Amino acid sequence: MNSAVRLARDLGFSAQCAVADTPAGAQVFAAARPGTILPPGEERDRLKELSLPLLFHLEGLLAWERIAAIESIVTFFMMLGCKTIGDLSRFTVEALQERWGETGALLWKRIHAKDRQVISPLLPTEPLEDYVHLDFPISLASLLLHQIQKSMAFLFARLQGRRLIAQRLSLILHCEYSQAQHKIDIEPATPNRDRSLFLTLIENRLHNLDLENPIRDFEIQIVPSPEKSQQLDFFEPRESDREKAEILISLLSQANLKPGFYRIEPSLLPEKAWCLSTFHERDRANDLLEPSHVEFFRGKDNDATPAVAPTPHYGAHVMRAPRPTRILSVPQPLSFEELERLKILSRNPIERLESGWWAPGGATKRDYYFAVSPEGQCLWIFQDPSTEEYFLHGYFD
Amino acid sequence: MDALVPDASQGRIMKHRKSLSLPAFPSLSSSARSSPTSCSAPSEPLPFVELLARSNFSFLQGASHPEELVLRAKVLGLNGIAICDVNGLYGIVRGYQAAEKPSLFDAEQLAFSNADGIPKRPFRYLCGAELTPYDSSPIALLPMNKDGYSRLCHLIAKAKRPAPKGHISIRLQDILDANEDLLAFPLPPWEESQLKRLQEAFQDRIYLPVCKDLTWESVRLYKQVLEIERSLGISLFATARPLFHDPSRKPLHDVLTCILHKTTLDEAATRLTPNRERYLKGPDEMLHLFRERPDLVSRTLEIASRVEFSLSELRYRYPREYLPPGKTASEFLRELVEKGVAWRYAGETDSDFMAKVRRQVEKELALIQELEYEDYFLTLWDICQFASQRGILHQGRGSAANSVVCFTLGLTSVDPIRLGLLFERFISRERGEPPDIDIDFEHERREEVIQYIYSKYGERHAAMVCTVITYRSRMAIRETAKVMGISLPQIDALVKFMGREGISRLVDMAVEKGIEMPTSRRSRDSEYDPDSRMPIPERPPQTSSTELATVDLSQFGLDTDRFQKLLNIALELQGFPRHLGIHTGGFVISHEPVIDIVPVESASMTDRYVIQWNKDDINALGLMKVDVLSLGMLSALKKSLQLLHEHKGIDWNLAQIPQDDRPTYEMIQKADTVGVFQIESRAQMSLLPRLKPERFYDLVISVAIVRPGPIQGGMVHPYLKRRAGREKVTYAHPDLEPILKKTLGIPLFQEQIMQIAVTVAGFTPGEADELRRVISSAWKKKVVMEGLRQRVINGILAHARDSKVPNHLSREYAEQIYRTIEGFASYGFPESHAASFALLTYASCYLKCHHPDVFVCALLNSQPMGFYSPRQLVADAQRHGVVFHELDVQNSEWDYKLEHGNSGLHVVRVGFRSIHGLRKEHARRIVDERQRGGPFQSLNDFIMRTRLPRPATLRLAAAGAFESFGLNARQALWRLQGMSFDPQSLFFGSTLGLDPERDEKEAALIPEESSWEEITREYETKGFSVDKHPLSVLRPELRRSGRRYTTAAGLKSLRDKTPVRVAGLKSLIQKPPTAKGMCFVSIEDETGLMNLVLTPDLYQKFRSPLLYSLLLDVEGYLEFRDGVRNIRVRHLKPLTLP
Repeated sequence: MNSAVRLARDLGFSAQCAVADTPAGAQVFAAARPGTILPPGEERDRLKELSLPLLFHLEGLLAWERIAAIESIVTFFMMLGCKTIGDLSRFTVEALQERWGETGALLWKRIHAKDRQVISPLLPTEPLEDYVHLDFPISLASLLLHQIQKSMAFLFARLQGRRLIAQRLSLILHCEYSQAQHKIDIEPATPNRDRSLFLTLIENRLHNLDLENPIRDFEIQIVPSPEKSQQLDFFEPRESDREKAEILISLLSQANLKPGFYRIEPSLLPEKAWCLSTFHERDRANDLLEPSHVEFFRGKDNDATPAVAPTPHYGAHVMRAPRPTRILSVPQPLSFEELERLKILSRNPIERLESGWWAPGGATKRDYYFAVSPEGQCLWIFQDPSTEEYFLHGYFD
Repeated sequence: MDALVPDASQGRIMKHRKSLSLPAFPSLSSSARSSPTSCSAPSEPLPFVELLARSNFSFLQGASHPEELVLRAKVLGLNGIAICDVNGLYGIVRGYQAAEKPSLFDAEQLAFSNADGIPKRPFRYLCGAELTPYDSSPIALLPMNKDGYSRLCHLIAKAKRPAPKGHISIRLQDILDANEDLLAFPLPPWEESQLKRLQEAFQDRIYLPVCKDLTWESVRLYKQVLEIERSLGISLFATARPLFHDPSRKPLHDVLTCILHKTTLDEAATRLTPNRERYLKGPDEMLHLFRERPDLVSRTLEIASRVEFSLSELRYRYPREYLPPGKTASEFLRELVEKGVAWRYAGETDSDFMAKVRRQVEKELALIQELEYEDYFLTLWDICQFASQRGILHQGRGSAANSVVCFTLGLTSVDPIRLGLLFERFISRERGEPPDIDIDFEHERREEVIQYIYSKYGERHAAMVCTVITYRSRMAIRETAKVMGISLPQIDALVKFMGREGISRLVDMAVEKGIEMPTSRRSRDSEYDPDSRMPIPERPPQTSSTELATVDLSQFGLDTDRFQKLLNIALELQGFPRHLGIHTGGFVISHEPVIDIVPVESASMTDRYVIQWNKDDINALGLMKVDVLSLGMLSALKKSLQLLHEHKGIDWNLAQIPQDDRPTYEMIQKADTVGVFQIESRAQMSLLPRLKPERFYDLVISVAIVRPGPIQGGMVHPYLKRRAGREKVTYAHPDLEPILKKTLGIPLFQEQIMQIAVTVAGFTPGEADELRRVISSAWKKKVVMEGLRQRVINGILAHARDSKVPNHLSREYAEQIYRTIEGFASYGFPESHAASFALLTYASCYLKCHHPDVFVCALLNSQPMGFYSPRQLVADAQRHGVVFHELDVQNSEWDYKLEHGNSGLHVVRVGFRSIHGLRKEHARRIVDERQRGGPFQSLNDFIMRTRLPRPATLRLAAAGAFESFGLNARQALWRLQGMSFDPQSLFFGSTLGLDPERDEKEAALIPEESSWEEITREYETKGFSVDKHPLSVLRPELRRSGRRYTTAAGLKSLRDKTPVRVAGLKSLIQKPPTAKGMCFVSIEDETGLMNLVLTPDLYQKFRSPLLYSLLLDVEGYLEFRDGVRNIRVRHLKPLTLP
């Protein structure tokens, strides 16, 4: 058991373990008293000692259909002075079923260790869905994506284990301060199991979302389809080249090849202003270069009013600035002798870049100049004004 | 080429040698360039006006206050500056004030700055706005005259109306159509076709800005603009397009950009400015940048000279809808005042007094006529008439109470003649400032008054004043930390660590840790105290040095460097505008459309329109506003009077409440003032037994004395001593006697401070008025306050020297007077305001004293309001013999109500409004159904008839509202959960689907509710219990614990310095900024309230239990002084049972 826990942790899961008569019982003990091994037949009695809010964990292989229903049951019985699962277990199944329907009946079965769910590697029953309640609401797309990644990792592992591919992925984001929710449906042109493709598509959609009202929890559901439909016909008529490209990238990715294109990367530092990436990310760079600022709003008479909220990208033009053909990824310091041999073409800097004042090492500050070497090579050099040192940063053709 | 690249492994990195003939452009690290005083002024510098400055009123797109930009522009020797904020004119008045009406004390500072080699120049202040049409690039517009300004206001309003918050919706054609009298500065990116359209419309009023900020983009745009100049003939001008006044604000600007984009600094990338060049530059620096085209620099003056408009031109008239035909405003006002005199002074037989009234009325009317304020008074009279007709209680506050005209018109309730109040404090010819009349209405009915104003004057002529919501310390830290990538749990921990002390706790920690002191940075660099309500911290750190010095910064995701950056930026961010809100009741009402004066935009509340200026801006421009405020106590008093009428047959209005009632004053002297107006706070309650109010004027003093002004000036104790006869009444100078006689030689009111400034500190009346403006303005500059300090101290000392009569004006006295002034900057009352409030204080005290049943019922029905929660009000009323009846669906209504009791007092029936989360419409359904069909027969009957949803019914059950059906709360809950609430169901409202016998057995399984569980349930559902106090439930166990706890009642029999141990429920924590870190806590048990006092070090030590535990176990000793009992805390912990 300990080895299994270790392995799971190594795989990045925060695993806890317990052994009980039923999966639901094991789960609740794993949450309340990790490492518990109950002798057969004792689960029912031992459950009675546990506090009422632990009912949320009494799920096993089948999650509660509506967590809100369990929440209301817990709240209700706490108002009645019930503190433990034992207090609740004294009520009959009819009493619970009459009041809370099927949920009540299932609850009764579980607290009496009667919900013996099937565990078989041949018949996996875990739903291809996940629900994540965030400890702290998130309003940054990148942080949210990080959480989503975790869920997708094991959902896609399940897909793989069952030899299924994803036809559609639905992501429902629940907002913190209202009942509002954002629903994102991702349905690639061809069903596949390319997690990075799905993630990229989600990321693109997330960036278009206004997360001013932060996200408190989210659900992911995957509609699977059998693997045979994964016979990807690249030449099958598709709606757009982009979709074809997505499939191609997907195929390449599954073959452990890293496809991509050099593209402009949003960074004020020239050596970081490009990278290798997939097609999908190119849109983002274009957005940064030319931020689209016109939005449309429904007015009182339901007509779409175009409106503008200036959100300046002050340094977007830096990505458009002319750069040498070859940029050194690490600028080379120039000695005094080397500097003396150069002819610097302007008295004043042609460009001044400053970034990262918040970073531990302090700000990167550079004053750029054009220079010509004695051999006639046009160079791009800069001075760090804080140290007054000069560096070579690129060559022009 | 390879030879150029050094061998990195050799690590030969040579330092640049100064002798090398290389770039001479100012280095980034050079602070000299940004330092105003280090600019070497050329003999004849080129004129330069910055025409495109952005302030922080561009909301997250500018990193300097408008005042900072203007002051820096002056110091740099600019010929002028135009504030062109994004999408609005929000900050232009602040800039205008700094430019045109600098504080007298500020001007001295400016003269000091200018003396350092920079010649003074005539300075032009211009204002405009930058608009972004959705079909073109942004365009900055500058009005040339008043008509142009009105057009700009219309354009902005038109752009803002249809768009959601933060957006505008306007076409280029709209701007072209409104081009007259406006200068246009199209901003990049430029398209020739658009420029041609603009040029066609604006003709010679279009200019293109040229900016050089050491980016490739500026080089590209410079080339493009020169081409446009050649091809289209559009004139160019130079600008720095400053986003901040000083390069040091670049980090703050980056943080603001991240907040705008909802991202972190690490992810912001190219959203940030690539360097810090977008700062306000001086003429010589601009000339250096544009040395090949100096004409572009000098053209700015030429453009500025085309602008004739100044904000001082803004004037408006009040509407005259109320005026009867054939009468002038003066005649009508006089007629109304005459009637008012007859009403207010009916039965007055003293002819001398009436002659005095007549003289005063004539004097006031003459001045009002001379200054043409009749319409303003009549507009207010009209509003108050409406309120009176609707039976809405109202009363004027503030300096208006100095006016007998206001008194006779019914705007105020204090008779200024009897109280000897000075009319000049209200309106003065010399000041030339509009009068300010604030009127309070019942808080629950103010909306009716607001709707009346809108319906009468229309949205074109009436709009509400905005309030600028600024970043306060918590939000500043939270937002800055967020963009620095600190995780939310760590931010929460940091904010929790700050606690009530706010950012000053972090500053203290920085000091203790030896990190560069942010407060010193504040005093050196920041000219503004962003937190207007907080005195500038000069106190020592409150926490013990070791404690703060050892705090581990890593728990907040910070190291020393990041902490320092976070703190510095958060301190700068404090006070920055965040968004606009609606002022609680400030209206601008105008004969001409308001939109001609200021842009009007839709507020988030439906059908509310708000102007882009706040009340200070309105005052600064000399415009008049109407303040329709609300006061919870007026609602409570109105309800009290109604209850008196309905249940006791007493038909009074406020003025008819018996005056000078001895039992009422005796109650006040005992500080038995929970729930009354103004004198209910902990500080007030500890003062009352010492002050021993005996008459109305004592209440006026009570209301005014516990304010930062008198407290910070150390005036409270001397006054109390003199009042108790323990100190002789003396005056530091004979000239002060007439001013301070009423307050025993101690200045307590704002007016007295101003009079002292004139009489003994050598201020002119104008300077005294400036003093009032400075001390009451919402923000204050440190330099201004320092200038003020010098003037006060030097003035008083000079008067002492020059005075021919013996006096005691000393430096200490002068310092004390200054501290009082500084305190008034935080909060202080004029005498007239205190008098208006004291009227309500007396009325509420009288009702509490003689009709506690009525008073508490009305108070509970007016919640939320006041200091105390319903729990505390109920407990206090019970201690005064009021009996409460439990909530019951058979008897309760939405409001608390009075029922006949056995004793002299009525019984108060708890209302449904006490249940947390119960909707009013559900309560109304219960009451309506009860009235229609009689009492409910059973739970089933209740559900069938009311058809309330299950959650609402469960709430009622949990609150114990079904006990009249013979069901306790738990039984009712169990029964309800088993019932059908589906009206379509056959079993609706019944448990017919259940087996009754089995259900009976199941119900028996429900645990019995203990007393403690019962009280917990009641507190959770209603917030109080009318049967028991938590301490009464715990008392037996406390007795069994062997610890000796004294009750609140028991404290009364103990002597001073007796060690005590008490247990209680936390009621109130107060840690006023004026108390030097002392903390005052009120706890209560079943017998009454107890007052705890904690020293700063003990507060830090016991901060956690104090803030997070409701039940406290306290050890200390009793302090009994002047009739006030306090417990000096020695140890405090959460109450635990054995």
